[in-house]
Amino acid sequence: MSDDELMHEGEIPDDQSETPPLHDVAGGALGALTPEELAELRAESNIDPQLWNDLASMEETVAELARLSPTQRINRGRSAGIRSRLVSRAAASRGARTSAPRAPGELVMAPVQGQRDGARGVKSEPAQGTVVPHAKPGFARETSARTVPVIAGRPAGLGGWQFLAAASLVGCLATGSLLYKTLRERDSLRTAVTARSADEGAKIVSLQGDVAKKDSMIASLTGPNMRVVDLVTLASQDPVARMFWDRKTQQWTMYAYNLRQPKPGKTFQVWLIAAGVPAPISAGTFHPDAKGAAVMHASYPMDRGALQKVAISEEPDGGMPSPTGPIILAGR
Amino acid sequence: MHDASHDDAGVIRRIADGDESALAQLYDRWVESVYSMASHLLRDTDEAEDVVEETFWQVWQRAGSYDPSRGTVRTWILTIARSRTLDRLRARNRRLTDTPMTDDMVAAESDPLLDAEGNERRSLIQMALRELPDDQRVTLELAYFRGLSQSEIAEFLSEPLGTIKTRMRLGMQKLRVKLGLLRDSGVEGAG
Repeated sequence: MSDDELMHEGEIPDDQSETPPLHDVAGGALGALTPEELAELRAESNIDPQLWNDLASMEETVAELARLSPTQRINRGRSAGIRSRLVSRAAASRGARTSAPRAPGELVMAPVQGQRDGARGVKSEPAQGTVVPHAKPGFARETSARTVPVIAGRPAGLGGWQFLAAASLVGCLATGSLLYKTLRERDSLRTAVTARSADEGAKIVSLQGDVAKKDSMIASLTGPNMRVVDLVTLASQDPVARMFWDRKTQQWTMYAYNLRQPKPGKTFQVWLIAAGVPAPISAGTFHPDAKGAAVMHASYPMDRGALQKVAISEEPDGGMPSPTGPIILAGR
Repeated sequence: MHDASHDDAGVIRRIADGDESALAQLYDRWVESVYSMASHLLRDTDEAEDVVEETFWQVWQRAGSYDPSRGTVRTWILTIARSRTLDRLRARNRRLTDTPMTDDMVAAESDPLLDAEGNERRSLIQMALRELPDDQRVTLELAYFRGLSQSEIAEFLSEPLGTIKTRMRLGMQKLRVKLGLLRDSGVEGAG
């Protein structure tokens, strides 16, 4: 198609700002419409297949323009953190979805093919649909399959009303007995199911919690806001510690190994040395375990570039407002 | 259409079924494309990473509404990513005072050793853009690279809104034809 043909077909008078949606297709694909224009375009495209196809192909063209962007490698560590956070959030949201109980008698919407929402290539969650009651499989079938026994004959020697009375009594006794037995079985099953559900549910919740903790740790350890400070020994032994500072959440986590035990009445205390702060800031005290390992969590707000040094000193139990004892480890 | 688009659609179905490992799979496959586009337009790696996270989270939330008959997974993901990128461009509120958008955005090149196939494809798209009349090309570039709305472009270029809409539509129609011919000729890249 020549420029002249295209211009003739699509030209909009300069003084006309109200234009049919067809003329907004390119702007819609490029994201250059106002929210009102976009809403109008989407509404029209939902009922006009030609407009819909036009918009879809324009969006393919815009997606092609993305190839103009030179390939850039995302930082692998940060990417791993993003990936881990996404998976963690997805797992958590899936759990919430699957654990949400459906109310008895709740109606579910049957999807209608072709319903779409705003973004192209997208079929919306059904805005309209056929309402069907939430099925209870087997219930109707079971009910209809039950048959009322037909009494074909009657015992000899009994009159009509006597027979009916006897039959009623037998029926009541049999029904009562069956009912009693069924109720007992049901209660027993219910108890077993409840106990097992509670047990399984607790296990699932516990496992989900473990997974979420691990994912959260991976995410925080690989996140873009993480700064890592290695602390090395100043003594003849070989203790080592690594401190992770999530600068976004201002959470501090320190892992230390091969530490000696503090002297009786003493404890180890962590210090943060920050730019513009005249005195070291206490980040808490800790005691290593029997193997000399320790994990310490702390929260202390600090400007992103402020941290200059981290140190651990041995101080009297309970800690001191400023360092007084020997420095065990230090890092920057 | 991408060779693996059928696989992508299957992965999207698994995501819609609540399989987070499928989300990780899709992430691994498309993260570079999303990141490359976002960082190119935003010129900020931190913000580009935020766009990556927002995009794939939206993919997770909306996978059930993806309709393969309406477009490829690549287009769907990049449409979401572009929308999130535009949000950030607009939030900055400094588009018109940024360094002018010039050839360095349109003609940016990857490391040739890393992306020879992508560079070839990119060159052809750059050529298709350059072949557009200047007024149409500038209109498209302001919308695509700067995230300007039609009204803002009209104001920026001191042209009536109707003129801008016409230029945008004509430019996109021609570009669609040119890029369609490229696709038909078999020049295709992954990203």
